Amino acid sequence: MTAVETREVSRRFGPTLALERVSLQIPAGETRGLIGRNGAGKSTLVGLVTGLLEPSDGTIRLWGRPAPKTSDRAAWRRLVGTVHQHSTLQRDLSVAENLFLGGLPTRGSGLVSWGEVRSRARAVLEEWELDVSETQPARRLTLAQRQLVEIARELSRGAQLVILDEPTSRLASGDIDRLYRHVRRLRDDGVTVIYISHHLNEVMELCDSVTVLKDGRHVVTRLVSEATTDQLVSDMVGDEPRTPAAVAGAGSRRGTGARGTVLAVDGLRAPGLHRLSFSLRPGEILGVAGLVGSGKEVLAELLAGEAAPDGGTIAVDGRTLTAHTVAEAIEAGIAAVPADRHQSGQVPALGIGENVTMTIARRIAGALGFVSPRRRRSVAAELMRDVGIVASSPRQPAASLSGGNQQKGVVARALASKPRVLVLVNPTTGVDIASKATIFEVILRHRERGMAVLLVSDELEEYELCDRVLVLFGGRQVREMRGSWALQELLSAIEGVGGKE
Amino acid sequence: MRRLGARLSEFAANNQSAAVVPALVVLCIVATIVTPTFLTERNIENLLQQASVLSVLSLAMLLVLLAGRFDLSIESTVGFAPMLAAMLVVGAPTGFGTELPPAIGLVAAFAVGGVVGLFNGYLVVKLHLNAFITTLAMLILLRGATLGISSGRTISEPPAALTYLGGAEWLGVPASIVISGLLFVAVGCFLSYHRVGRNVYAIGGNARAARAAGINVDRTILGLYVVAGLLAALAGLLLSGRIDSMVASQGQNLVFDVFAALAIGAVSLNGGRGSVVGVLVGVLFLSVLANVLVLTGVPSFWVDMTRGGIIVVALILARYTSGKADEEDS
Repeated sequence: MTAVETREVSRRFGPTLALERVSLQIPAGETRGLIGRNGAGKSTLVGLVTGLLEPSDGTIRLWGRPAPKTSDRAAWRRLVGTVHQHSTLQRDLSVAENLFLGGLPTRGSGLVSWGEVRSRARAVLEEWELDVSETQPARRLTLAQRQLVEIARELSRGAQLVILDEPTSRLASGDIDRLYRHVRRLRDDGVTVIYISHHLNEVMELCDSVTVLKDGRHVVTRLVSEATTDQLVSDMVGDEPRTPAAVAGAGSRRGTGARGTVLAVDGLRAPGLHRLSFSLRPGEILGVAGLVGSGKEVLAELLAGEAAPDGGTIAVDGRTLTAHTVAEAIEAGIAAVPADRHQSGQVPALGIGENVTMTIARRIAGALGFVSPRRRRSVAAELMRDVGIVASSPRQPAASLSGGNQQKGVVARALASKPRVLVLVNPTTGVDIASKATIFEVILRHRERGMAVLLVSDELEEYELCDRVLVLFGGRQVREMRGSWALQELLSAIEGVGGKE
Repeated sequence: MRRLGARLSEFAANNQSAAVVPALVVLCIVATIVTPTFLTERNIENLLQQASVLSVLSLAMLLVLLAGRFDLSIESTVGFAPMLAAMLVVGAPTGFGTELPPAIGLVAAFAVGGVVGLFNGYLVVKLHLNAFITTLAMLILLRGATLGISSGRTISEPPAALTYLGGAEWLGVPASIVISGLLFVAVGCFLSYHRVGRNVYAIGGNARAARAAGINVDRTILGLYVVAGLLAALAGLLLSGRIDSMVASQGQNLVFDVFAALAIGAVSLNGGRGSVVGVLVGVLFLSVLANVLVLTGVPSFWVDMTRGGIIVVALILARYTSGKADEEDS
């Protein structure tokens, strides 16, 4: 019997096709791994088979019957238990109430039977060997405990299909073992499981079969007993490295040959980062790769001055940073394109011209700190021209620009201070192909004049631009890739399989 | 002519505060027709003088609000600062008996405003307390302190130095009108053209992005609270000067008028959007309205209801004429 079946399912978000004609069959009782890189369509697929998203095309059947409508949440909850990547616990409600939220046991009169809520919660917590009180609010739990409570909730509801979306991202190894035991027991009980993970070794250990998605398409489904990690890595990467990065920077993987050190990082320590040291030459492009939580994001924050390290030094052109503020970093010559432009890259209501000159207001201000509008406009216009922003005028609010132009604005804001080192975190997220190419062209042009670049990205192909790539794992540098290397090698190193121990 | 039309429509598109201008114009026309006294020099002067306190206070709130914070306590500073100053100067038994020189009293009034602002700012920025609740507590505290130090009494013969700003005439124009006019220009220039003024918009629009651009968010907000406190002290002196006394309940409920003026002037309560032009329009609207209600002899028990009703209507009209929501979701 087939538990989950998708037939030619597609899903569009505006003009982008997130999932394209995916057909899958998962037999009842099977544990299926689902892997693929960021943007491969995993989350979209999860959304479709949990009833959070409606397919644009195609049909989904569960146990042979058409799936319920997305509006019928109760039916979906009966059929599918889902552990989402991000916590969905109500922080201020008790653990017990969280466990039964939406289906609190009641007396005939409709009043909640709190005694039963608590005793049933205790039973669930005991079963999961969770040493937390059922009466304490969820916000008092550690991240791992929260994750386990969430998993326990979804797995104990009696759903015949359970979906786990990267359930181990916040768990320690002991907790992971506990999770494995429960997943195996579910399988013994005939429950169907879909297990999404970035960690290939988890999938190899836990799953019967594994489906690989790439660019919204179903690449292959293999039995785990017949697959190797190398094979899966190459399934995920594919063999056509036709990327905007590669287009923009054809043959760019070469240093400019300049000597000297523009950035020196020595013994840098912070939560999630252990004594990292490296240096950057002028005009060099250094990639820093790793899984989420490997320390690459922390490193970018430290360099940008958004957080202070616990120890170690950052020096630009021999000058060691002391204050660890954004203003100091900009002054010293480090500028950053932050990971999420909506969160920290732009002020949506302000004009694009004002946004791109925000980092240099002090430099363009005249007497007493007043900025002449004409001067701001001309500086802004030049910056906008430099990165190719299409806008009716510098006064057009950033929010009303296309995603690509907004992101070019964030890049322009960073370049405005004429940095010696540019830190890029996912510089092309949510950006169309043409804008991606433009953004990399601009960056490469500035590199020609000696600007060094540190790139952190979820798009593996972008690392092809780099002269060197440092691979972090668990906050430590585990590998350095130089010269010519293949994407498969990089992905293996990132996943922590193969390569050096 | 066509260029002017295009410019006007562009201005209207960029300035939601303009949406209520037609309502203001209608109000003035109606007032002129209904009461012949409205459009007399004396009445206008009187109207503007009364508007000056609300103007200064609204500018104070505008600065804090643009950065995405609140300061409710300014209305109590309006009462507390002049009262404390007068108590320091006036002899016993009305005053403290310290009989300090009036100039020191004047300095003390501003100092107290600045210190209250600094304290508010410290609580909000450094201790991360909720600005609304914190400054509400300060409002109550200062209101109580005003009552406490004065034992509820009115100081009816205050020293001239303390009432000068609110009572004097410069070149035949009440000084308070000149002062609030200059403040509109100064705050407007600061917000439009000064580096720090622009930072205020960035902070209110997206504080994280402002921080990532190297703006010192905490220090800026702290500074805005201090300025708001200083302006509130000034508003208090203007009010005391106009009524030539310090009253224990001085400034009470003014903060509601301030919020009404800002809302009418399309200043966002979520920060990042608003302008001095909006504040000016809002303050004028409220002041003209109050003036008209008095002139037309609306029974005093019904004044507040009528005022509230007209404010609601004005907001609804502005919503439709601008075609945009004042507060967007999310």
